[in-house]
Amino acid sequence: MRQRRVVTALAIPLAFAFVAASCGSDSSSSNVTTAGTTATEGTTSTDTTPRETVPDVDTSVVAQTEKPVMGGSVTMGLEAEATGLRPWEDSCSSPCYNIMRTIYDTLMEEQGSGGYGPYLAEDLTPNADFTVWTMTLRPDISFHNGTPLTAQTIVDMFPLQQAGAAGASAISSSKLTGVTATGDLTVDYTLSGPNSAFAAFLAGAPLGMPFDPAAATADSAGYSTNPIGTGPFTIKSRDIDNETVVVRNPNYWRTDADGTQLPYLDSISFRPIPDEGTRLDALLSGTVTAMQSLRQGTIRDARAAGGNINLIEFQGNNTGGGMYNTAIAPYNDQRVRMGLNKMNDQKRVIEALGGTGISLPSTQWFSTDSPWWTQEAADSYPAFDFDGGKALIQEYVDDPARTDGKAPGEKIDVELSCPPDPTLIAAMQVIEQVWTGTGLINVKLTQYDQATHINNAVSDKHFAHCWRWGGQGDPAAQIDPFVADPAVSVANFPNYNDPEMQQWAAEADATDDFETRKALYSKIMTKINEQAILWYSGSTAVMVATEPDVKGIISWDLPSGEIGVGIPDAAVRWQEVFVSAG
Amino acid sequence: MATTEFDDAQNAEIVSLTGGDTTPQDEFVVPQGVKPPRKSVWAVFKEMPILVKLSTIWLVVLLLSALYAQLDVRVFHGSLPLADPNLQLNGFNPKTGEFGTGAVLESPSWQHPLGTDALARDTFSRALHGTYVSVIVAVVSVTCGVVVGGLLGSLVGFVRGKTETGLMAMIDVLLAFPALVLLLALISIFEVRDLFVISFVIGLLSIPAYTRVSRANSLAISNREFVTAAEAIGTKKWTILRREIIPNVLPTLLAYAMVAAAAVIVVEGTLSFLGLSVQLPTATWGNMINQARRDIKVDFGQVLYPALLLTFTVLALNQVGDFFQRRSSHRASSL
Amino acid sequence: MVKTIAFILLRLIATLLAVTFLTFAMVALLPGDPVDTILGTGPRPPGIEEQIRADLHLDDPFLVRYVNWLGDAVTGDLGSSYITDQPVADTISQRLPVTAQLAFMSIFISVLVAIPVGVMGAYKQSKWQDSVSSAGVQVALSIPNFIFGIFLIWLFAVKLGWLPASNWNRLSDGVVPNLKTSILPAFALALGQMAVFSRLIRSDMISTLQENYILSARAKGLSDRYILFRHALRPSSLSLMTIIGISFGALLGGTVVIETLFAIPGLGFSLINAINGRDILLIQGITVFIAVMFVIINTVVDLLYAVLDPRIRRS
Repeated sequence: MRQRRVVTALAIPLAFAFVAASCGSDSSSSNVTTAGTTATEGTTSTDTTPRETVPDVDTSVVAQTEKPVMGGSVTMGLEAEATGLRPWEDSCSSPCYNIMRTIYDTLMEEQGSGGYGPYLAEDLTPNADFTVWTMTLRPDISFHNGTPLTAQTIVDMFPLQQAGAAGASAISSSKLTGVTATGDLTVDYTLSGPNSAFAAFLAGAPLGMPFDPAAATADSAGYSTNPIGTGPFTIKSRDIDNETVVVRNPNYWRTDADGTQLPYLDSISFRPIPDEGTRLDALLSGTVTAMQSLRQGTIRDARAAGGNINLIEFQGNNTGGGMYNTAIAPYNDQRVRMGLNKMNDQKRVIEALGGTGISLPSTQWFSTDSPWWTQEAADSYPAFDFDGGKALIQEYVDDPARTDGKAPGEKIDVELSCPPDPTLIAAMQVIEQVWTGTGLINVKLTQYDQATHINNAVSDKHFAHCWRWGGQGDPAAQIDPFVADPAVSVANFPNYNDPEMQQWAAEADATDDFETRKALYSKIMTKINEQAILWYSGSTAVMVATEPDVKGIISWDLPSGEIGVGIPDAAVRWQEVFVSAG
Repeated sequence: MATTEFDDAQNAEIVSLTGGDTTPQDEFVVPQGVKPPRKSVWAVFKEMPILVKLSTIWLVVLLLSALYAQLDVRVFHGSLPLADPNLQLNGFNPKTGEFGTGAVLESPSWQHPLGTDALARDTFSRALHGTYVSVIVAVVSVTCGVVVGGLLGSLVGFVRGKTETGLMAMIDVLLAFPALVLLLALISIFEVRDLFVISFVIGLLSIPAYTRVSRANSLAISNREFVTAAEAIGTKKWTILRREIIPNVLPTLLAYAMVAAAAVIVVEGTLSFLGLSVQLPTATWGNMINQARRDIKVDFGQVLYPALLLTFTVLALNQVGDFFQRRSSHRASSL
Repeated sequence: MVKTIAFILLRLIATLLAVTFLTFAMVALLPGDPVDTILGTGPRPPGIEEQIRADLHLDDPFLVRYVNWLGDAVTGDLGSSYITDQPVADTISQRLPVTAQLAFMSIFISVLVAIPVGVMGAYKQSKWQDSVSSAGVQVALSIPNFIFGIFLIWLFAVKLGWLPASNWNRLSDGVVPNLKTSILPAFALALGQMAVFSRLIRSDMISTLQENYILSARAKGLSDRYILFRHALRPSSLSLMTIIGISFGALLGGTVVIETLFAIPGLGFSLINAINGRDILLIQGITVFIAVMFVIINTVVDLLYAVLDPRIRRS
């Protein structure tokens, strides 16, 4: 869910603001072993070319061809500790999903082709206007403690989800109002309005990961250290901030195509290693056998580290960037916003972030690999144009009716605020130099710690504000709250209230025709670009690097045989990972 | 505790180190207090051992170049021959109105003696400009700590009683209080990221340590013969403090201050990552080290150069400090 | 004796009250809101903010919250984290052994190096031995400890493969595995301290060596070594003891930089996360703990003064 990710994406670098290390810029690459070089059926790559002349990064997903081996274990270095392991309560981000997905299964899963397929569910069918969704559960599934998973379990989970911080937010944005059991294994989800993207919510933690409601009610706090799910692994020990060990669930319900029971691995040990450099060193020295990273600089360093590691890169639907608070001057004038955006040198910002040749410039919520990416939205994002941007600012400055109340000819004041993350500090200095270079703008750079930075946005005390956009999953979950009436939706941070965009979003929620929905969201993203409400830098490249014998990281599939989405957010689905004998 | 536990190890080491061919008498004898005549600066310089001479030269060069960098910015508006420390050489150059062709993380060259940083800025120029901020932060905060902490510590160590109890309890509170909370609170209180505010905050946080160190020495000195003697003949407390206690506390305090100065410069760089330091893009040695850290695997030099500057400066400060301390202790006749 | 203990306890209580109150006040003044950390930046159903505030008593007046917290704390209940719901006491007890061990090891290493270096510096004052050793420790001091840490990881883990690069093996996993993970961070922490320690020893020693009783000891014909370590070192360790006390307290409070670099589950790491998340009860809990440590350690140091230099006892 996007809303979760925004916080955590900021939180992770910031928690270690003192020492955070990562990123730089160097486009050299050697010995890159991406997941595959040939696009086969079920790949997530599209045939679109990026606008800039930046080499594409091959991150296609292909089926695993090597025969899996049973046994073995993996030690994985994560970029942070999971906040908690309670799906209904805790914010979950990339490292947390790595652990959670071993313990819990999701009801639905995201497919490489873009839709959602049943996973723990057997079937999910909406009614005609997408206000009631009927789910059929797989039979004979039980939790690690032996409790069977039934329709009643899903019903009993609902009050906990309503009361949980993570659950409440997901319930609110999914429009879910009630859960009723209509049979032993059939459940009706009733919504307050049409939501054709409801399946996406059942593929994430707060609503889509069945947990044992009885145990959770008995000891909510304890559930985090002793989680119970239906997943391929069970918890063995949890030493917070140091090591979490999960071991094979011998009764797991899934088998692979050959009928071998999953998972392949005996155990996985998760080790949070917040320092990017240390995590890579831990892999290189054998302290861990796998690691994840969401930092371009680390990907660069891993590429340079040589051929002894297996490097799996993935372009996720996340992008850095920022937004303007359109409720206040001078950002309430489109010319100012567009002028500033035109002078936002994406290529150099990405270079400052350390992502040249690793992350691609983004123009919208989705990366070029996503089926939701559109050329229309891409074309509407302003290309770097110093003179054009300066002219717009000049127009505003000379306007007697300028909204900031200053006399014509006076410089405008712009405050750009980012969390004190080293990569963002670098990026904001790049932006500052160009803006200041116009001679028309006084730029003030400020940094506040993550809690303050987020609070400033939530309580509308922001100006030009660094932020992250995009996220895995359906656009409805991400874009709808963003364009909703700011008086109602806290997630409309730029406070840009546009009935037209809200109408488009409502239309998109009322149909499940992919092309129609794609066209509607494309119109929204295009309008966002034309109105210059926010800006983008580069899409977030993620990586999982392993020792060469760890296989099957990216090529997981759904029970239907449909290939999965890969490793967005560097969150691995562990059930099909194995350690190769050779 | 320390003495008993480690005696053997040290004894073995010290024997092998001293070699046994020295005449210990000379080591311990303190020249008795004949005041030498005042010497000219040049004469003092000539008196210095070679290491101290080099250190002095280093410090003078450093100060001159910091001055030069400041002159360049404040008086000559960048017209002196020194690269603009904040100009990104691959970005827009307001002076020429064009985009530069520089590169990030360049290796040292004649044009850029220390290469360029991750934003394609000239590292040499940034180091020179950073000297000013780093030196100010170090001097102001250390002075703050030494003066306030030193005075308080000397006073309570000598006076003792309720004053001491009260003050040391306050010092404990300051020590135990999480510094980061204080720093974040100060960020929200002080909107301005003024150089002196930052130095003052760092100084404030270091006061407890100085107070405790000076108090420890003051306690010991207060019981020496010359102090008890002075008290016996009715010398005023204030006079004893000024004449006897403080001069004897000072050497240790200064030794501590000089090593602490290095830590302060690094701490300032850390603070810039909390948003509590000079406003970006101003260069300091600390933030240069910290910002270059993320590229340490690609370009070690960008971390190394400012760290070396810091190292040489600390070394030089200590050498010169030791020299003058020795000189003054030879002059003073406290025994 | 009873009086002394009563006095120490009184001081401890006063310090705790002051520290906790100040921390509580400062955290209340900070911008940022724990509700944001709990809820994130996603859609918020109406009423949930108010409910969370009510559950956590965030809307109560500041003094009421402080007094309530104090009341619970007195009965040993430090509360639970707003964010993870883990009891604060659990978090502290999990991390304390790690942080304490690291603090002890790094102090031990520092002292082991600092005493010979400092004593020799004083004994050979301004001779080459002094210059070289002083320069050595000053170089060590001015290397930011994270750079040294990165170097240690590179050398011992990546290049030589002798030690793991990160994380912590608890003592319950065995002493050798534990030492393997603790030795590098302890060294990285010790680097800066040994410089400070040795400079203080040297400086104190120089003035002690000028004392009359040292001269008379020499006149008695005692060996240098004996004088240095039996007569001179003890009274020269006042500054050292003081700064060890402060360092020890500071190390217990956590060393975020090194803990983060080596991925060590220590207290400092927890504190930073708590501050960043405005997790007030966790901040309070750790602060109280650090304050107790500071008072205890400084009291011990004060008592040691008299042992090291008997003349102090007189007053």
